[in-house]
Amino acid sequence: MRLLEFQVKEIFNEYGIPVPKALLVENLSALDTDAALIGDKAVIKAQVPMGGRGKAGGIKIGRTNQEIKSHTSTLLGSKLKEYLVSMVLIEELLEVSAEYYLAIITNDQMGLPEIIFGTLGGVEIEQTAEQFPDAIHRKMIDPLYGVQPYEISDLLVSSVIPDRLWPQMNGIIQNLYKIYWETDSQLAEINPLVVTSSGELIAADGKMIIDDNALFRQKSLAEKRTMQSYEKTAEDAHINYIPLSGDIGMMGTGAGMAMANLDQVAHFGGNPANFMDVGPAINIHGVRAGMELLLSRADLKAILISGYTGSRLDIFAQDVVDALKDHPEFNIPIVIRLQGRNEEIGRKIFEENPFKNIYFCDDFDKAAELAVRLSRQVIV
Amino acid sequence: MSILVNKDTCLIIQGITGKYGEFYCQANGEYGTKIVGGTSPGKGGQEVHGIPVYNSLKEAQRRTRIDASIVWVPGPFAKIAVFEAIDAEIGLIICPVDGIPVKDSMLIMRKLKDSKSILIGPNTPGIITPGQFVAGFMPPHAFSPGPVGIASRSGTLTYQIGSLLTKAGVGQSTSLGIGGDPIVGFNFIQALQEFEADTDTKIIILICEIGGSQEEMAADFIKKNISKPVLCFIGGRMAQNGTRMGHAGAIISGKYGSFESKLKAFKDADVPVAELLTELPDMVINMLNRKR
Repeated sequence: MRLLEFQVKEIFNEYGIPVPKALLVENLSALDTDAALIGDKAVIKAQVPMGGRGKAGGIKIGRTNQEIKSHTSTLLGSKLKEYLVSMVLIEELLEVSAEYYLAIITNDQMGLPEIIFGTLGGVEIEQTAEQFPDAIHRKMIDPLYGVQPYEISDLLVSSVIPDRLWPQMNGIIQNLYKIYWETDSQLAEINPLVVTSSGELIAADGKMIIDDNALFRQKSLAEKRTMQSYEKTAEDAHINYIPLSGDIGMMGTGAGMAMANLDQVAHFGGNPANFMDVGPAINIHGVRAGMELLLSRADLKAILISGYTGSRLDIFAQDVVDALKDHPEFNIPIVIRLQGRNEEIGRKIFEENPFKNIYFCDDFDKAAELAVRLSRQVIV
Repeated sequence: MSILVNKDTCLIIQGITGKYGEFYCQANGEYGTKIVGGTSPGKGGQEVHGIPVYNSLKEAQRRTRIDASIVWVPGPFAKIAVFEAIDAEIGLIICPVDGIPVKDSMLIMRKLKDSKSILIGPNTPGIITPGQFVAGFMPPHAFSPGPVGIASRSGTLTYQIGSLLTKAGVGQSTSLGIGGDPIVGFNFIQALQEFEADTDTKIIILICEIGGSQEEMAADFIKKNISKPVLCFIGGRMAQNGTRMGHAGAIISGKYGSFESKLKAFKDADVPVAELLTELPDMVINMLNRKR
């Protein structure tokens, strides 16, 4: 779960990390009453959960009250990628003398938290890593004990930042680590961490990604979540669904299989309309909900249900049959290749409930090939 | 021979009275796995499919030998169950649990570091030594005894390749899933070491996936340390940058963990990569014939 910038900054503020003076605006009239709080020079930022906001036109600078107003009015209600801008953050324009990068991430390979400090901020860290690897300093942290002051010193010694910034930097790193740990973050990032002309460190932008598996114990963060309706359906059913741009609806058992199915369809020249993993486990509602998601799409030319499961194909088959019964209008070819535990019982369920336009196939490759071929047929 | 588990391995089921514990107690037991007990706090003295239930692992250890444990406890509580297994000094801990918070996984790995236990998973489909032992989701009829060792990041693709090999008349020594989570215990390198040392394993298959750097490290390790032939498949060829395809581990950002980077690593190590999973059985058969 990715938090919006203003939500991240609320958390920064709560943990004592300095952020710019700001005003969150949902409609223009709020500007008339509160604009004076910011001053007459401001940065206006669309609140959408995506990277590259600046490039996409979601960040603007206003140097007069009039400009601030007109940028705000342009951004509110506009669309960036698939996101509707319903909130805008208006912040004081900082006088910047240097920009750094600071993040706490989970290092998967080591299974440890890691501090990443970059002396070049404001650009994506991947880019810095490629072009200026010497500008990046890293430190693994032992999660049992948390970050220690001497570890921060080690990090700062190698990074040659001005000595006078050390006390502030030390505090910010300690607090960012605390945020990372206490909120179950996968990433807590300040980019850029700005040094102002008066020598203050301020978090000009922030990004946090919360571990979805931990939302059960991060209730106040979970409440901040905004979901599209398909995301909600998928989450409630414990399945994984990602819409893509093609025309072949996909359902697979297990993430690896679901991914391999996409690769196969692409190999045979088809275009998957989605990624869907209904889970390898006994997931009673997963298949049913997954079918609903596919059957409700109007842009499909074929569906491929392909899997090998150690779970129960009898339950799986019944769910597919029930979903199809609910949608008698559905008229697109469906290719089914299901193997694994209780395969025979599953097949029997399909045999007892015949539908037109369903193709059974026992071969991993041929099923994908058939779905691709059927997706190209013109349905009259 | 085989790796990690065989017909004599005594397995205990943590969470035996839950939905999964109960179902796979029966399914794995039917195959012949030596299940010596289960745990469920407060339910000691009961039985599940004829298997005795204990309140804790320590209590069970006073009654029976335990070589391995499988954790069938929901994600939010799995950390505690794995902690218990580590503290009880269980040699092999198998953790099929999906949805463990990453922070919990970090703490599990930290505790594991100071122990002698091996942890397979989290989010593993389990492990099977055909004809002898199975624990986890693995559908046993997909597998048969033979010379191929399989280590995989995906459960269902393991069943698929097992079944394709079995149909082609080629069996397996041991097949295991290392787990789909970004942080896992037993990894490709350890699996390669075990298979290299196992006299029954003649060929090793790695079922790989985009994301992370396990494959790159495994490729490097193969180049330096593995004498047996290795074949592999990489899932996620067409995944877009930054998209998370189900497995939390299967996310690529920038060049890190991409399909191309893994393909190159294996090419550099002279490890053949199948474009389609279905090509693997023929590749295996050709290689076995060549060895003779």
